[in-house]
Amino acid sequence: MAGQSKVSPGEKGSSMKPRNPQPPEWAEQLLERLLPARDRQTITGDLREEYLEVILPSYGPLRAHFWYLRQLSSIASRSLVSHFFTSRSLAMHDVLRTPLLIASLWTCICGAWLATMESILQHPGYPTRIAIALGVALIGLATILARFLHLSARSERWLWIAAVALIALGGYAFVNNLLTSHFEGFVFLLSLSFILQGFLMLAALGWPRAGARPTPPPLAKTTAS
Amino acid sequence: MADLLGTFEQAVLLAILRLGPEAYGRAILHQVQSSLRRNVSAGSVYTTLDRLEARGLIASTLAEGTPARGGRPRRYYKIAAAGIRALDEAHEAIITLWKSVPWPAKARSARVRKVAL
Repeated sequence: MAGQSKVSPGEKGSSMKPRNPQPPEWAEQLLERLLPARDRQTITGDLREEYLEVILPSYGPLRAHFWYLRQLSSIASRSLVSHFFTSRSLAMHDVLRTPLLIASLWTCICGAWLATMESILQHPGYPTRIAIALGVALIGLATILARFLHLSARSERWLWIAAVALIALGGYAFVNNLLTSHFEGFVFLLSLSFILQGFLMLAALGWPRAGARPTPPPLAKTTAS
Repeated sequence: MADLLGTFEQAVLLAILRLGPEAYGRAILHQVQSSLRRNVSAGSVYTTLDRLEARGLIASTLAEGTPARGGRPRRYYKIAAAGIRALDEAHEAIITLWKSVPWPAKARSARVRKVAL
């Protein structure tokens, strides 16, 4: 038609593509969070290189995004499984990793269960007990997030405080339960598990997280293709 | 021979050996895919590299990243002496294993049938 501007196929194609194609930012950040510190830069770098040089030109942005998400799920799941369930050495923090994970999960579930039961039964003074139970659940959750998903290096200090609080709470409940006229079996078990988790946290926190892997060598200049 | 290499571990080690100084994550993945003639997930290659390094069979160095990687460094791998020994043992084990069975199986089964008749 006269007057209609002619658009070449190349120009039309380029208008459909994003100006600065990149892997999905949120997925890249999530992967960096889930990977151990040692591999964060190198593995995300490999993926970005593959994405930009091979996948995006071959498949287009949408399929390339799906490809990236598939890689994310594959790498993250394998990395987490190997991180949680294999010990790389006999160093104390490695040996403690799995028991600490199990104890943290247990504490988290116990806290949530106690808070739910207190909110249902509503015995006198229940709001305080709900707050304590939620605090306990939060400590379990925070331990998992900080120690296993590396969500914040700054939280280490808070984990020390949380570990001491757990030991104090567990010790208080344990002694009170022994001295009271009606002994409660579940309080006995919970208090012991809180004390155990507290000591496991203190023992595991005694070593820097990076120590779980060999120290990365300094940057060496090579002729990369 | 207590801790023999698995097939996938052998494929990864041989890929590193073949790539030489250009052996980094992405190149190793492509090499393994082409030698095994199947699609291999990146996760399995990285986990295997991690495990092999923890066992002292390979060593890695970091090198500066390219613009395509957003400046992120590359991790280059090379085989350690223990890795070469492990490959030797795996190769020897396969040879020994196959020596005990006449091959091809077709010839063997034909001979067995003849004896039975």
